[in-house]
Amino acid sequence: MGVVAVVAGACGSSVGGEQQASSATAFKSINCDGTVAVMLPYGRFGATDSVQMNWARVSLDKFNQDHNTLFTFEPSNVDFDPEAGVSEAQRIVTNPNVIGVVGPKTSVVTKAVGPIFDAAGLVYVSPSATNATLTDGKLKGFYRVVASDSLQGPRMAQFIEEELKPKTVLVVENDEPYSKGLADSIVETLTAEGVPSQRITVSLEQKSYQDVVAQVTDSVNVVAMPLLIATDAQRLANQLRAGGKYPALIGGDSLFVGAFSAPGAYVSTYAPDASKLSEGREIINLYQSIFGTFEAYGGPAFVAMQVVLTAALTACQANGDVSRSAVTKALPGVRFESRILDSSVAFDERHELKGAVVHIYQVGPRGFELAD
Amino acid sequence: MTGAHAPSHGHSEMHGPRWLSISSVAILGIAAVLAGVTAWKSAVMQGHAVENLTLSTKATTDANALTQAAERSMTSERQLFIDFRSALDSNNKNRSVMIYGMMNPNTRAAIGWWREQPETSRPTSPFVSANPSWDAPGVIIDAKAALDRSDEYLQLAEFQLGRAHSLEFLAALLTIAFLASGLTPLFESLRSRISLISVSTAVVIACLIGTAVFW
Repeated sequence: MGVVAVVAGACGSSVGGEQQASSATAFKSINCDGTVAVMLPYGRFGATDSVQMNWARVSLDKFNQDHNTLFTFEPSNVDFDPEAGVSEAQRIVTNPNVIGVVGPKTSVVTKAVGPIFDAAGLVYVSPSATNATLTDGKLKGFYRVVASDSLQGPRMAQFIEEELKPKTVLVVENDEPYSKGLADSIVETLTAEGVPSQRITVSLEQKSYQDVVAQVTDSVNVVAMPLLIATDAQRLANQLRAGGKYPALIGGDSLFVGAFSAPGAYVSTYAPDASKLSEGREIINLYQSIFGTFEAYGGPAFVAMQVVLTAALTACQANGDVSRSAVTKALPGVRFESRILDSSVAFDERHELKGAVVHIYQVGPRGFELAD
Repeated sequence: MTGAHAPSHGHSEMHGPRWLSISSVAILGIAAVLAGVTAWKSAVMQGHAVENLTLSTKATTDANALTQAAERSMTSERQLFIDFRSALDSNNKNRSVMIYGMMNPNTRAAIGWWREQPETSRPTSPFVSANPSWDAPGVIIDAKAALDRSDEYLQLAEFQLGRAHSLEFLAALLTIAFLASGLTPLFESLRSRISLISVSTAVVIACLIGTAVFW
């Protein structure tokens, strides 16, 4: 691991002061290597399946191409199951080549695996774990490239209050950290604003939501669904409509996927739809030419991989050391412009993304449209 | 003597002070040198533009070839894998060995990784992003990079052509300086001659600045 070769590229001939095409003159200075573990789902987990893994892979291969580096990755197939996460984390930390981790996907797994990664001196950058308590200082190596629920919940509540003219808001939640944390944050803000709310807990992958449907009375005109699984939310939306109930629906970032398509429903998300950004279009084209389809959800996994690799490259260029400790030291200083997030990437002292923004999209006839 | 002086006096009247003549010649000289230099630089720029256009065309051809190779490879590996699975499922060992032999080493490695995955979480195909041995994403990214290089060369060529045309325009503009300086001796009025030299000087200075900007 470390510096393989140092090759100073020859200066391209100068044409009267202008530079030749950058590829001709670019200094491909240092080849660095190391393995990044990617703790994201890639098979048989449903709606979001391998989308994040796809994005992380594109990011890695593109980074290697752009910087002439030799980084590799090690997949770790973990979705919502903390036990599977712990088992995989124990496997990952024993691999001396692993210099950092992209993931986990969920807050519940992050809480379970964080202490294992911390003990091994690894940084772990999540593209989607949003629970507010993850950055309370207990998890030393945890970073995320998305907004915390402490921003997302109030943003959703603010949108409900300002745009949906709520009489009473029914908050439907799962009994797991992501959903509960987001629901807490929504209810807290609604209460502060004087908007009445009720809460109901449902199970993951619950088939029937008749109890929820029954609770949507004339006085309940908004249903907030900070649910973990998009297909659960879609099922709930279908059953509400089948029951003749048409409240305004709003969900969290986990519903920003093609599997959730309830017409007119709102969804909050921490990353804009890169396919609608002129700058991001180039990367989307690359993604589509490899994987065929495009799913807006998962773009932050591209950024999370960039963060780990940028820290590794910085460490490598500084002293040829691509060790876990060097990457850990370099990561707080990582800064770059992200065409996926349409903003700059840098971290504050709590390892939160600086200037993180939560967007609200609405399900329209041609997919998600920016609403606010 | 008088006759000899008269033309001299007339010459002095006709041509004015000596500095005017020197200035006129100097401006003509500078304009000529500048016209030559801008024309030369313009030709050099056009040469580089043609070179970059050629490189752009070559990079586009490379990118297309890479993209087609990557697409062919992806289609071929998928087809071979389907045939391989069919042969395995029908216990046709000879056929499965033959198909396996037809695969390239990367495809074999990709299938090897896939077979090692636990059945409960094994992806439906070996050709997925999680498979480190599946190299198609890298090949497609290389092809895109070649296309980007083509764009960069093209943009550079357009830039150089733009500069070359600007320099040609400056060379054309310098003919005004030639004309004005050339006309100077034909005027008797000192004011007219100074005006013409001023025009020439202004044009030469403007062209000098322009040449420096577009160099």
